[in-house]
Amino acid sequence: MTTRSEEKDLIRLLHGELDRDTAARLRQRIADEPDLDARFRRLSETWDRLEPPASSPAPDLAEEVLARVRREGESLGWQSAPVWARFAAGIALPLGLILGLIAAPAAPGPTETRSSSDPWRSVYEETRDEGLTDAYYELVLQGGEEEGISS
Amino acid sequence: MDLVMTDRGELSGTDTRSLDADLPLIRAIADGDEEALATFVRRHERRIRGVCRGMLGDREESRDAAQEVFLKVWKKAHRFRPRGKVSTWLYRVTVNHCLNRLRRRKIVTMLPFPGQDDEGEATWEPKDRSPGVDRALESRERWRRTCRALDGLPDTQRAVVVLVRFEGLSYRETAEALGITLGAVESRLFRAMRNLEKACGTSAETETR
Repeated sequence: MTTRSEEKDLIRLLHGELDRDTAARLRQRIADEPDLDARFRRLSETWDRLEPPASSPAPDLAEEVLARVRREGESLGWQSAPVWARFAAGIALPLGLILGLIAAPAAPGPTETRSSSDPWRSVYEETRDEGLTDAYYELVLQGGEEEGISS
Repeated sequence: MDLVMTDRGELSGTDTRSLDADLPLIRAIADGDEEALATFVRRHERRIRGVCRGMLGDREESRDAAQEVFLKVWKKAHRFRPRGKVSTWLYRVTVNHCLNRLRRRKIVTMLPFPGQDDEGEATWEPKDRSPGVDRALESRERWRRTCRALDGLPDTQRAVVVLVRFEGLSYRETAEALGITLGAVESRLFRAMRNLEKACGTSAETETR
């Protein structure tokens, strides 16, 4: 049975992280103590079982990366935009927002824009105080009656 | 700065900035030099693909991820401040990118670690049974087992294992690459070893006080 600190030292030894003197002392203890030796063997076995990924032959990654760099450079990304364009956009967006807010009260409301030929107009006018659902059913029933469908 | 010779024969605590051959390349990349980027990719391709493969398992996904890492280098080279080695910074970019991909993968669907089946390679049985082919099959089988073991690790433990085991980074380099303390690296490795022992079936009679 090994203590937690002993085990940490064994792992450090396994990874070559102990200074030479400490490593030599621990190696001596491993040689003298079967428990420590068994624990170190198991840790080594576990660590050695981890197989590094095999490097497989592949097309030139550098060429692929450069191709992507060029493709992204050609696209109109915000980051790739010139400084003057970013500046202009930075001015135009808030300006447009302010103008929109100023112009909004002067714009006609939705009822005023409805033309007299709008089929929804009469229903909307008549059912102004009712719910939209009622208005919808009314319109559907009207349509049904016109087509000779009755419930 | 105190210099300590570790058991693996490395000097820890060295200031390696003056030795970093990647620094001029990164500066050139920051200036938009595509040739410098190509040189940088060729220099680091193997290790970045290795880290991506270790983290993500799937070959195609790791290749895609490696491309995206180098694209990030292209876009972020101007932000690099030479406090450490370029390769350390590159490892950090790579690991963070892989962790993001793993997070996205978990959100999208609960897929198994792709290396478990490794694109159907496990069922591939070649007619040629020459020693070279046998070795390749053995290696593939070991990699499948490795993937299964890594699959059981939390992402942060997996990152530490990949950097230490596959990339041969020291604890200090790993801590720098991941932006964590030396103690956190040791702690994650300690817990990872426990998990790996369970996954590999080598944990019999493992007891600590």
